[in-house]
Amino acid sequence: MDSIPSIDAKHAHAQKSDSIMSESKQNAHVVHARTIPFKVGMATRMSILLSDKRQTISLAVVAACISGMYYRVFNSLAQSIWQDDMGSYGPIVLCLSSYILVSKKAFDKQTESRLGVSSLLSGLILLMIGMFAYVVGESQQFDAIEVAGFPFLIGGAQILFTGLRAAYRAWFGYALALFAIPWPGSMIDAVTHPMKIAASFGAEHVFGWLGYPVARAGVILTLGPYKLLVADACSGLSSLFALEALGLTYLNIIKHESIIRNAMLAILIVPISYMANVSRVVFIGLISYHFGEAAGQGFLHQFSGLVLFFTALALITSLDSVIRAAREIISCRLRRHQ
Amino acid sequence: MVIGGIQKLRISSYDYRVLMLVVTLCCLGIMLAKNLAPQDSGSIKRVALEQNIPLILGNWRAVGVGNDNPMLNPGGASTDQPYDEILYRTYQNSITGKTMSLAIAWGKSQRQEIKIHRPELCYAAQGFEIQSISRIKFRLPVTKQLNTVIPGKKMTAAAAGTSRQVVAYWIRIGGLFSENALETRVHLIAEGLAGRIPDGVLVRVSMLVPNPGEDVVASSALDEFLSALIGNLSVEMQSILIGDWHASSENI
Repeated sequence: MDSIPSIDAKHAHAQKSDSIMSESKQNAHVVHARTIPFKVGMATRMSILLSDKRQTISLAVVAACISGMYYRVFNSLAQSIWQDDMGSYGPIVLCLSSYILVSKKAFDKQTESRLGVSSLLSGLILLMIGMFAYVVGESQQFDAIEVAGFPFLIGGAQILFTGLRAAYRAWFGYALALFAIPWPGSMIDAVTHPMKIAASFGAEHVFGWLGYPVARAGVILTLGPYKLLVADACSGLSSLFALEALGLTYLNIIKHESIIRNAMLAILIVPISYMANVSRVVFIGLISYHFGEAAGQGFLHQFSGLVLFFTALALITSLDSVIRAAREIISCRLRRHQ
Repeated sequence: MVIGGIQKLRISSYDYRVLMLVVTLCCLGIMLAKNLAPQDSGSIKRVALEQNIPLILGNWRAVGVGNDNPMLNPGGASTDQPYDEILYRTYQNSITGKTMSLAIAWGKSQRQEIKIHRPELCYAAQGFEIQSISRIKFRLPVTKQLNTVIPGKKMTAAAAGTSRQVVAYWIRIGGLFSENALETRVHLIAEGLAGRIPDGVLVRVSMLVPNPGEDVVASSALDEFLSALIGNLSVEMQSILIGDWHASSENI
């Protein structure tokens, strides 16, 4: 058997008994066909992922179970928090999380090694933690706890299926899911209010620097004949979370060696997000002032949110190049002085 | 021998036995979640605040009635509108001439995300600055011979464009007089796991006090009003506003 094993031969092998002896014989023949090379695109990866019958059935059944469990809470969130500005980053974060898990091959079948006690035990423990959070959250309708348990359930099941090593590779995907936890309304209100004040404060000063006639009372800006109310949606909380989640994902993908650089970037996202939010308020104010209230409230209002979000994202990624360049300049100078 | 066996245990990815285990746990979880969900409490459907809170409370007479408090929205089944019944009245003391605003908000099913809003959070969210807040024990006469003691809060709040207010309130969730949001949530979880959905009520009185020097006088006026309120209520209404007081009463 020196020809490349076909897909059918692979399936035939997989359906035999699971004893150790026959498995290692199978592995010796098919290890190259089963290992998915890194450079393969997402579509091919997904199709290879689903080509193995045991894998497909396991993934499908578990996906069905978890969908059944989480249907109510995700449906409820989709109809409330995830729709308004305050919480719209939630589904984005969950999609990002799934993307990371798949791209880091968390669900790929392990061919070189087998799952030992550590995988089984840790998988089981995480699954129990997730199940506990689910039971308390679902029975008491406590959404925050229930959604917090979601990554534990997925992680526990994944470790039981493909091992602890795969979880280590994809840890960031699980950590990111924490961003999707829906915070209780009172906590959000407590944070939103100072953020609104800060945004109004910033916008007031920017208008002042630009030479416009502006006055502020709390979160109400008076710009010439127009009154602007900086509402909850303009507090910048939602874009802060979304930008932080995306920024952390970016850091995880490009893999800086320096912890300081990672931390700096993660922290700098906060002021960048604040500045982007203030610019958005200023932008809308200027539109209202020059083109009338109808223009300020219309299509440009939504559009401005998107534009500023992507501008902030671009700022964050280019900040990284700036930091890298600065570091090189500094280390160049240091080398010359030595 | 068992330990050695366990250490040598090796299974392959996507083992069917693991799949069975995961599915079993999921089904267990779903069943547990259904069984531990509390059934709707249902024992009290309406409290009829408008009818049952008297318009005359000792020296205090109602001079204004209405539902125009922006912080208390009726609705009953959403996070923004968690109350089933609301009362909002202004009372005036016939002797001193002071006016007092009384707000009572009742919700028949308190859940994690649909429950009484705490004034210290609600006022702040509306733009008020909470200048001071303290925990208080209200002594309220439930019968001619007995007082009961209720824990609650007093705070002073001010907002640009409106006058300073001195506010006294308590929040009853089931059998608990809750002092903070966390305590409320834990109590709701405990009650829920025991199968009960408690009702909840906010009793709030406030006075406009522009001059901080008059805070002490205002504070005792609030106490006097609350005593007049509880003392003039029927037994049923007392149990709605202050719960079951038999365990914690003292002689006057």
